[in-house]
Amino acid sequence: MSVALPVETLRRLFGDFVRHVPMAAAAFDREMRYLAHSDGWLAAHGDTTTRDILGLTHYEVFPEIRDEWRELHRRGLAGEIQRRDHDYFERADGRREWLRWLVAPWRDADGAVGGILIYTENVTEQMDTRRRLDQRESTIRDFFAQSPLGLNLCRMDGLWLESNPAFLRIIGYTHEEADGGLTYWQLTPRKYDAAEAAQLEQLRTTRRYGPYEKEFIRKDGTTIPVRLNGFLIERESETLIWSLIEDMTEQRALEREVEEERLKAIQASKLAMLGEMAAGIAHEINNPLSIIELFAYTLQGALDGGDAATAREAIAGIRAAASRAGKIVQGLSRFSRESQREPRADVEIDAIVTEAIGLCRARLAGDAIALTVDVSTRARVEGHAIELTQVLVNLLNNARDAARGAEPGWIRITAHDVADAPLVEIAVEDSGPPLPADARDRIFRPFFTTKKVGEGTGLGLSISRSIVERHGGTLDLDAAAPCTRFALRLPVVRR
Amino acid sequence: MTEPVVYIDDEPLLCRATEAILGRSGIAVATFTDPLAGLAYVEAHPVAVVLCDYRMPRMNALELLQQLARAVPFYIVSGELDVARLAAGNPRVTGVLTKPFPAEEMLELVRAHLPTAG
Repeated sequence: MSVALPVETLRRLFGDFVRHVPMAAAAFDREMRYLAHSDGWLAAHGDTTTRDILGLTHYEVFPEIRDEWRELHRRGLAGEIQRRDHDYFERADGRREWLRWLVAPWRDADGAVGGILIYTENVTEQMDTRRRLDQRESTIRDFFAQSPLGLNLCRMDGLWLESNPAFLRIIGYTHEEADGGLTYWQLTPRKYDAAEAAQLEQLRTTRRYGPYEKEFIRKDGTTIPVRLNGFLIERESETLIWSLIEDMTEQRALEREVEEERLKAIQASKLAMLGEMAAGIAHEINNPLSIIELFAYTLQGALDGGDAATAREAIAGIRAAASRAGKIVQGLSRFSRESQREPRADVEIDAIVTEAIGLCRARLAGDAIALTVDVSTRARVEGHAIELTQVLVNLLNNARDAARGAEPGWIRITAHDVADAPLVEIAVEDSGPPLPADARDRIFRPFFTTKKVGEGTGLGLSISRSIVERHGGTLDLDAAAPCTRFALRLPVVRR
Repeated sequence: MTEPVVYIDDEPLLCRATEAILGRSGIAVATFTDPLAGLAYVEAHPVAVVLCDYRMPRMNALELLQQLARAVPFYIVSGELDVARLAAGNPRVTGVLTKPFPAEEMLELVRAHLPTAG
């Protein structure tokens, strides 16, 4: 249906219609003279004036119009409709713009082309926004693909959705195998069940989890140590988990190396200690050997003389001496055994005190040093018996060196439960001269020693402290004590 | 009755074995596990020879010798590795008997200081 309007009304309508088009729009006659244009036309072409251009040709108004545009105009006049959604355009003033345009012919009452209509819209801003989004997306894509850290997105039920190459390298699966096909749980050893539950709880309450150290089972069946961190995100109303996965293989190897070095240092220090104790140990062994020799001689005589009572006494003496020598040798071999990778066990405080005293007793006796032992605890600690014995032997040896020559010479070793704390304290005190003030601060440092050259390595206390700290305890010089007193405190597993 | 041999050692079994060996050989012997008791005995009685362990509680053999006013043949008996070095240069130490030693060596050494052997 069409409404018949007077020509003058139609002319005005056409003028208003074109003027208010919210883009750059203009109508031309066959000579490219302006018949009408929208308000935004001049501004869209970089012209800030409000000059009257009706009747002027397009090329008079904008002499910079390029040949290719003139060609578009000619083709429009030839009856062709042409359009472009984004076309790059460099203005005479150097501005770069993206244009969306349409060039179409208009026809007169006879159906002949009367001129053309041009519509252009500046879409530079949209284009810039789109480019920025593209760039951001490709940045994120590159980050995901090239990150040395494993990245993985999974569903709450553990199904993997997106895995980056670093993560795929860690688990040894391809993208096709992993994403959409594998779950977190399939690659998690069962021994982590309890830890997993704790991490899930943390994720539920804080929306984050980790740092969490565990292992994954790789495609080849081997396990690989990893450290995970992660957080929840919402995507299309579904809750998903992003995880950052770090391959800890090298870190673990490094830690193993450090641990081996530590064990080597402990062993070296122990051997140095054994060297210092050699004289006392020789005494401890030679005494039973002498007893055996003398009683064997007695036994010989008793047999020749038919003296059964003396023979029996000699045999009993020989057996007692052999058993004692055996105990000393066993104590020594227990002590010098490398404590490598020995699992932690319950250690009775009473037992390690007895063991340490057994190793040091002869040495103390020979120097006329009185030893008092006061163990009032039945506590057990978790750890390595040999290492803890080594600490006590070290403290006893130091005490012996300090108390030797003191008048009177004594050493006191005590072990008792600490009131109000799940700790046990073992203390070694001696009657030696007080430590000089400057030595007190430095005594736990490696290579520091107050002993004469050749008598101490200066490593005993620093290694002892490192052993105690590895057991979650402390080893300190008791500054408040009236004598030299080293106190060793360890967490108790049970009393 | 001959003057006894004195054996001082904090190890009771060694004292006992020495008693048995010397006793069976007809040699009078007095043994002490406490160095101070041994020292007191030697100060107060005539003795033929003293055999004394080096490493003992409260004092070692050299310290005991230092406190001993009398001149007596004095042997240090020891399982220490360096006692010979410690005793060297001390004119009051007659000799060192290193543990472990054959019983014959002790008998020979003791007999050298008994009048019957002279």
